[in-house]
Amino acid sequence: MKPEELLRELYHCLHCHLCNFADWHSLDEWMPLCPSYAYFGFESFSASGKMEVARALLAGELRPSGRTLQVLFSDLGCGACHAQCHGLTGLKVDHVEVFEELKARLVERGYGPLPRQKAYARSIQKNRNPYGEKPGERTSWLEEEVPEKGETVYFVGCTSSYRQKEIARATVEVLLRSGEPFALLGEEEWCCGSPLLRTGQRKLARELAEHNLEALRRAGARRVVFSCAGCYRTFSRDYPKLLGRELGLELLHTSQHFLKVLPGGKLRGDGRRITYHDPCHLGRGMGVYDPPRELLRMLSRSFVEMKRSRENSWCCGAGSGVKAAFPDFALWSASRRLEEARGTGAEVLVSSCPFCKRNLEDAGRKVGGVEVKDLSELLAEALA
Amino acid sequence: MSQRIRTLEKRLADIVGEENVSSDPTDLIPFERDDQFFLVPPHRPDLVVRPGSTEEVQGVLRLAYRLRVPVVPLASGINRKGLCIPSRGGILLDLRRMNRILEISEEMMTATVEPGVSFGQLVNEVKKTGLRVITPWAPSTASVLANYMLRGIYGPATRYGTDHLISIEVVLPDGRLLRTGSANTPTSRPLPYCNLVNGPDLCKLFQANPGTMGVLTRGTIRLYPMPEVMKPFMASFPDYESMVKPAIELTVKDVVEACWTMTFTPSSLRTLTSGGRLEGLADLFERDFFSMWLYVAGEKWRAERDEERMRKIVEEGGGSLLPLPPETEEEMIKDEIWERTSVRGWKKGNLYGCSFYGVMKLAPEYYRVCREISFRYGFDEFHYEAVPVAPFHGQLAYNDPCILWDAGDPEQVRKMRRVHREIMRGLLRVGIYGWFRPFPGVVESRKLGEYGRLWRALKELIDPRHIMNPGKPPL
Ligand SMILES: Cc1cc2nc3c(=O)[nH]c(=O)nc-3n(C[C@H](O)[C@H](O)[C@H](O)COP(=O)(O)OP(=O)(O)OC[C@H]3O[C@@H](n4cnc5c(N)ncnc54)[C@H](O)[C@@H]3O)c2cc1C
Ligand code: SF4
Ligand code: SF4
Repeated sequence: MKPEELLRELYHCLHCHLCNFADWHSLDEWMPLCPSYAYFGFESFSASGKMEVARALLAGELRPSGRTLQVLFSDLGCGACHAQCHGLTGLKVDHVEVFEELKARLVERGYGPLPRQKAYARSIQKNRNPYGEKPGERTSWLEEEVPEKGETVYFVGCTSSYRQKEIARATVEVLLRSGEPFALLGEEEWCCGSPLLRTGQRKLARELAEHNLEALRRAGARRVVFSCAGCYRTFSRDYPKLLGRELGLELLHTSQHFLKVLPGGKLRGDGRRITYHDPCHLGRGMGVYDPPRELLRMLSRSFVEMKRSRENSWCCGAGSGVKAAFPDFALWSASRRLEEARGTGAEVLVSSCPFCKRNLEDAGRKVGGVEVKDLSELLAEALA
Repeated sequence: MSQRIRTLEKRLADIVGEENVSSDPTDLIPFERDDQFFLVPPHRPDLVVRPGSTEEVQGVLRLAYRLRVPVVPLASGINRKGLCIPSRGGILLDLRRMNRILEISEEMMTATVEPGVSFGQLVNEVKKTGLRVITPWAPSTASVLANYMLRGIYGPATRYGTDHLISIEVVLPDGRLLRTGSANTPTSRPLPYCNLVNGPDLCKLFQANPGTMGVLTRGTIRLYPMPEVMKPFMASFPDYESMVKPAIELTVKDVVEACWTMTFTPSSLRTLTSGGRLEGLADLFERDFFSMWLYVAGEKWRAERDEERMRKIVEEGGGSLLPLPPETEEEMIKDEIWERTSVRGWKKGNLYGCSFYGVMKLAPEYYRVCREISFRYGFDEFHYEAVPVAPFHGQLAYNDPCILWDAGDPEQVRKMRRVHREIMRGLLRVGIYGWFRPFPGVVESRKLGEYGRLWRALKELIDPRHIMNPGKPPL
């Protein structure tokens, strides 16, 4: 959207604030849904507030201050606001796209991102991952021999490669058990660029996208499977926009892939009560709600939903560079989610994104009470 | 930022906590305009303050009063007509932290709420008791207290009217606390349920004053029984005139709880129904669609009797009841008792309205005048509604000429200013009771004779330093 078109569209936000709350009709409860508004409390942190900030910035009525950066760079990009507003009101923009566009413009003008978000960009430039880890250690978790070429490639993602290695290991284990051949890019896998795109650092993201697609081409990939919801969305939605072309690859989240290739009848869970947290990038971002649930239902007869689920899901609080720049806010959001999970009587809170798991686990260390697992881990256990 | 604001910010932080005050432009910008910016010029507050209790509101007002700083209360900030625009700067008092439902009394059929309680929040709690909140066609985030304080228009206003507020607790501009009605009687327990005691009903003094007399910190409202049966109907009529008599008769005889006469141009109908169940309906019309939206409700025996009476009155008036698909019927019921949220009117982007109270029998003339002006300026997405709200004579009707338009287009903004002026003039020429709410630029107390003078004198008495929401009626 051109700036003048965007500006024109922003006048259509009617300040109804419906974007701050979950659909109370289906939930039968009045519950907040925008974590940044719920945590920071000022209107400027709500979607409609940010629409006004966007309008003022585009119209040249606001000189960005430290607070402007705090407001925009603490946005989680969770899309909960868009899920509520879309179709209900006359506003036709995608909120997350507006906020990301705004961040990109600010960065272009020399404002932001925040120091910690800049720091991980430097690491991505140097190490091809945001964690400051050596590129050569990307597959240090790998115990099996896995080819580097193949039609199906498992794109591991930085968080599973360096921080939540158990997810990478479990995913490989399930892939092996499925009997379907697959490959790994190894050192040729670079950060997908999501942490950069969510914080307005688009230039470097384009380079990463080009590299990853070239690496996949060289590997002979026709299908890419992701255990990270963020990588999956970035490839699916951002790469085509960034590069101006279709990728010509089949892109699947592990939940979709496993549902196809695993023999449902053989999955046996340990009988514990399970609930599921929709990662924003997978659910609202990509519309993938059912495959993980179908697998979980096969695993457990006591699968329960939290009140805020699917489109009404409460964000774990980690995304869009928030965990790096606003760790307290990120943990607060995750703690609310854990409380909700506990409220269902679940013993295990399952997600299907390593970054959600990381943040929920970090919060869990403080509040405890429910174990956090990735879908791949449960599947690996069930198939063992 | 001036030294004065910096000092004020520190003092306010002492009252409500640092984390609840801001003077950064980024936090102020969201309050500087609403979708009526073409009529009420945008203006930024100097500070946003978020009190969490009555005591904190008192503290803020005491300080503001002493320093003569304007205060603009905001309960949910939806109001679309400039009522929360801080035209003289000062403190934007965001009351959304005060969001407790203090009591739902099934026995008294009341709820006592703080200003940050939304309709959605309250409806959801009240429905557990089998009682009903009378709701507007507004977003579910709207504040119950602000809406009832301003007096609104509600789905079932034909039967239940427009006043559902019994008593309030209000912080006066100088920080003193006033409770109205029976809460003042010196008994051993506070009973806020009655407004008929000890003298005049002071709650009414604060009603329809847009934050200009003080800050409401709690209010006790009326609840109603949820009807055993509710059945919606839609009738079409050949023209507006033929809807008048049946509308009045249905109201006076208390046959329906809601009687909305509504007229749509084909293009407005097309936009409003797009993507919904009635999509395609507009293709059936070459000229305006004159319709009446009716709800029969009550105990089973009564609903059956009223349906029969309603059918007769509609048919005798020349109307035809339209067959409604069960899904549409279901949606209409949900809308009436808030089992779904819908803000369809905003599908185009913006909605202009110029709501007022008028005489039901003059509705066809209001409609014609407003429609002509709207079309003359090129706005063909026009619709009109008139709802009788006074069961005893059926003539008092809420009216709203509505135009779907695009505020993002500067040319349309310019035109809309002229449309507004012409519509107001045109309606006054036809003869109306008055404007729906005390909107700035619409209600001018100086043109209201002795009533206006007394209203200003009361404001002077209660807010001699004019700190409360300056720039709004009556000043
Ligand atoms: C799509 C849409 C449809 C609507 N349909 C209807 C409808 O059918 N019927 C209807 O009645 N309304 C309707 N409205 C308006 C809506 O009901 C608002 O609730 C109402 O106008 C009040 O707005 P608010 O609750 O956001 O209050 P605010 O905007 O926060 O405040 C409104 C005014 O009240 C003052 N105020 C707020 N709180 C206090 C307080 N505690 N003490 C003193 N003064 C206070 C403010 O200063 C301001 O002047 C609609 C609005 C929209 C956007
Ligand atoms: S973003 Fe959408 S839902 Fe939120 S206030 Fe604006 S119009 Fe309403
Ligand atoms: S994207 Fe998420 S955090 Fe950002 S405004 Fe929307 S709901 Fe709030």
